[in-house]
Amino acid sequence: MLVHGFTSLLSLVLAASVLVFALIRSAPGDPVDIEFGASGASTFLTPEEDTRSREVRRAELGLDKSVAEQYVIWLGRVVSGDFGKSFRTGESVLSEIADRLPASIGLGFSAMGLLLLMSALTAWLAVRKPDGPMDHVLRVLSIAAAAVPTFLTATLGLRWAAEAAGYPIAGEATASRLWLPAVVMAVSGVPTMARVLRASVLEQGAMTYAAAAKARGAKPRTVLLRHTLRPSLAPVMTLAGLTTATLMGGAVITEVVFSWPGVGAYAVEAIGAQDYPVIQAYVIVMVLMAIIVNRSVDVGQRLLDPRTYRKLKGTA
Amino acid sequence: MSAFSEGKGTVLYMTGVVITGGMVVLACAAPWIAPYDPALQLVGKPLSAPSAEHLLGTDKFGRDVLSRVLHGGRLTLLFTALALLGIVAAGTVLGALAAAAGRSVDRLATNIIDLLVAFPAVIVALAFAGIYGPSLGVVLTGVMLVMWAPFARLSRSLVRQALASRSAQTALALGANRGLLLRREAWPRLRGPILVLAAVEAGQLITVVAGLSFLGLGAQPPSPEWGAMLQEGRAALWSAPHLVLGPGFAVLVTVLGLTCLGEGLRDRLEVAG
Repeated sequence: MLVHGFTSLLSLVLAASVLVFALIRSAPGDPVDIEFGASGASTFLTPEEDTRSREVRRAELGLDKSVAEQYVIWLGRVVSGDFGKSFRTGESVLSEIADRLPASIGLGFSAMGLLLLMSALTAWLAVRKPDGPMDHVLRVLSIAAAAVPTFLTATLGLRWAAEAAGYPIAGEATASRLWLPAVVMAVSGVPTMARVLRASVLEQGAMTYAAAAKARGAKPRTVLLRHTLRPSLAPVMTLAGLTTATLMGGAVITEVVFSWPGVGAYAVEAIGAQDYPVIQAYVIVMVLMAIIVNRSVDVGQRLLDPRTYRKLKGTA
Repeated sequence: MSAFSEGKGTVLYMTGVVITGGMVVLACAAPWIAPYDPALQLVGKPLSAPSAEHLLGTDKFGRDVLSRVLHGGRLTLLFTALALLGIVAAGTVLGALAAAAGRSVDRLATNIIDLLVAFPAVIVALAFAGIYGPSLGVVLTGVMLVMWAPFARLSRSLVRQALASRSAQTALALGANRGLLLRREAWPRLRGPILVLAAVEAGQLITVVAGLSFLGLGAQPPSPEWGAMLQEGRAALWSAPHLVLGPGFAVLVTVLGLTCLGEGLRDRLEVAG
């Protein structure tokens, strides 16, 4: 299981790296021409000297090598954390990203934590009365919530909070500013998550092993926690993985609207300035995060519900 | 089947049909029903709040927001429909191919599809806008490169099921041709679930593209497109919030309609999940 997990992880990372490299290489314009200006524009170099200096620079950048060699060199630099320098600030991109990552991760985890907490509470209220009208209410809410775009909740939330509660529009990534973007990001996912959790708990509670545990005389608490709640978290895990992707995307908009000093807002700034090294580093960090989430969900599911693993093995 | 289960999802489905259909009709009829020319400046006082004359107010050039929202729907709905057609076709075909291919191809395809399903389309579109410059076409391409994956995953699993079914195995044993098998056995199982997913994903597509345009990476002003209008509105959020509200609610209502349509269809077709 571990070996298979590792090779598939490795192939994923490699495939992703090839795609990112291809994306960056496909950028319009030749890097040397961008740096040197249009050919023949120089006033103090003869055309031959101009061509030669371009070739020298090309060799320095390794652009005269084959694409495969260039890829290997690029991969080596990326693996060692060398993303180059920002075109705008001249600072190392790695350190600029590292400066902003805590704000993004803090916001992301707060939003996810809030989402899970609110969903668990809602699901708990709903599970206590099965077959109640709660199922319909949750369903309608989840449809409605899915329709509300982040930019609308974010801008309206910001305007409301600034006028009603004196929320600071711009500033540092402090706890007093964290709550609003976290709520904005979390709230739209709550009904769906609560609905899945509720359905899953009810389904698992009706399973034979839950009944068997009860018949064995296990404490109701044990039946609930180990035989019902644990396996019922597996579908929640899957949804949480997908929700993380939505949160990562929504984070960009939320960070920009709230002037939150995270990597998403940084990337949007970089795009305005065509700051390629920053865009490249941002994409790589995001791909890595997506892969980590994807694999964690996989491992988590196997831990929560051993049948998932057997099922996977059976069909693979 | 009881009367209740026959009517299951009808309310949701009809709501979806009415809302989505309504938005499409409004967009198509925009040139005739819009009260003003969407590009004409100073039809009212700039940045005036909603009033009887201008139901959704005016923007900073004094253009009528309602007319622009109506006309914007044409662009937004048209490119959403085209992009959706592309990802549905690509995803369904690629998924079916993966299911019909050998084990190693299938495993590789599954890995890629699983990762893409969990990858935020916003970020790919962001990267595309960064590399090729902000424009609606670039952003749409980026989004489409990710959003075919859910269709591929669905199509792969359903085609696998279909090919493993007893009737398909019998047909294969009798020497049936694979293409025919896919059409006769797999397609009928595929149709409903793909349609359900398409309705839900169409809503996602609109939200994502509008969000990117809102950040200034997609459709560019002055085109009366919802996302581009949102971007213009964001600059005037404090003085004239109606500029965000108009196109914002247009997006909200359309996505609501599409989600109802998808969920209602799911109930009617009794698609699991």
